[in-house]
Amino acid sequence: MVKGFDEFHGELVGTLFFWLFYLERDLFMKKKLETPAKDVIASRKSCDPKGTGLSHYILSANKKAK
Amino acid sequence: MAAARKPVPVAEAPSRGRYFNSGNGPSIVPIDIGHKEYMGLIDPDTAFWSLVKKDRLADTLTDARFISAYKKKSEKFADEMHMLRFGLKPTAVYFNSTEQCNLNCTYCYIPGDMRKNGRHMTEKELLAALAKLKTHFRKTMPKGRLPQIIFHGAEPMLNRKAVFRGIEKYRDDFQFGIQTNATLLDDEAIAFLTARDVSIGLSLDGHTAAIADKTRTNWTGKGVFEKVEETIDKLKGYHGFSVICTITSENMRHLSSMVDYLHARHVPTCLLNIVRCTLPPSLAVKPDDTPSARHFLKALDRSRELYKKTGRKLVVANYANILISILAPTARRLMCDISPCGGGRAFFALAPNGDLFPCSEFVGLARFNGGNLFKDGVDAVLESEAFKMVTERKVEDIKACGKCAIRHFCGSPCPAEAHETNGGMKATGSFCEFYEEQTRHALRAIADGKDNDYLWDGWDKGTRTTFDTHML
Repeated sequence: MVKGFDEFHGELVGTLFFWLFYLERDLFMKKKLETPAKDVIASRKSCDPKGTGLSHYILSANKKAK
Repeated sequence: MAAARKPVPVAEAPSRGRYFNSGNGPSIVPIDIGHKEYMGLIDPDTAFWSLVKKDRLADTLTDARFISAYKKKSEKFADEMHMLRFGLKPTAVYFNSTEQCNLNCTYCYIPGDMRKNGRHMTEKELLAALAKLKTHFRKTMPKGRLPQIIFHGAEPMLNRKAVFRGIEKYRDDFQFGIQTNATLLDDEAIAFLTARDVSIGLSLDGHTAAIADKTRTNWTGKGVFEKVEETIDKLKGYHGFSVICTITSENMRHLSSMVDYLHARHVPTCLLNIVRCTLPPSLAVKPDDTPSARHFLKALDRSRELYKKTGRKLVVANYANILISILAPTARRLMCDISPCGGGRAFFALAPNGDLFPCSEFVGLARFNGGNLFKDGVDAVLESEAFKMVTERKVEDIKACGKCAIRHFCGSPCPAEAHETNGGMKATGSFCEFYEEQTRHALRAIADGKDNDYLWDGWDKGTRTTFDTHML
């Protein structure tokens, strides 16, 4: 079967899209690898500590009060 | 409850605090984290941390911008730690609905005679206890949160009818969990519990019967590995499911294989808890600090390898909790590795006769009985001398911990063990190096950007960033 122009065009765009996607990902990874490690790393997150806290047992469910 | 000393306001201080470690400047302690590039810098009081390249250490410690950035936050961080350590109210109860257990595990912290000949709570008593607890928590719980009831050991499934009646009647009032040895968890029980979102924790100490059955057997010495394995497979896909593996000298060499085993069975969360040596029999299987830490860290690395290979995590929750205690101290879920520990202040334990103890570890130790739920009420018990012995145990008062930079990532657990085995409340816990190595591993993971690989997805939901590298 001979492909119509639209079908061929669609495949071309798809191929180009994936090529660009992978190129961008490779560039990102390369940049990431080349980025020198930071001299200082520091971070802290905060939240309200009230309402949770167990000993050696973990609860995975998170049922809310009605 | 004793409050820790709060920082002296800057205005009253003897210096402007322009330098680290002198005058009114913040105290920052350098620690070796075993990383090829980074050292740790920690303020032991506020649990503030940073990781600094080894060849930049002197520059960082004398960098006015760094000192200034931290000083702006240090008081808030101190307040945060103070609230976490002294400002919480209990939100969970370890509910022992029976003294009996059909197993005789080597390291159990409940006395053997009690487990063999003890009593069940009657259904009437159990419902009355839940009613009392509901009334108590109604006045103390933050809005939108449910208190947690964990049916706990001995073996709660021996009192199944009463436990299930309690869950059914109070399903809208509590978040329920059950920690069980799995031997009595049949299909009907699984259907009942999973339909009601009850968290289920199973206990298993090895990936083969030969290892698991060394420490967990019934009273005739027969192991239960096959039954637990069968139950794990039945719970596959249930979100509220976890497995506790107690680390002993019998299984520590096989922790990586245990991680492989649990991951292959799609267990979402496990706890690799070091054995507590509260009662003498557990000393027979007490592992040494150094090898247990080495095997534990190897198992952690294996859990990450499996995640990278499959895209599916097996979270080792006790380690994840230490990571979170570094990244976001107030977002921690478990309260063993903080000082004071959670016993008697974040949770407490209820014995079948209504007696209240700071934690299940103390059930059976009469001097830690703070009173009775039915006779005294919770508020009075929380203020009892028995509870204060635990809630007032602070790392600052423990000689070895008072100068330790990572004391708020460890907490020197466990007070029951310290008191019963190590010589008193002002003694350290039994596994100092085990906790030290976990913290160093966690800081290395952060340095290498691997921390999220060990944590639950979305662990930081509800948190906000209060300090970041770009603020320096």
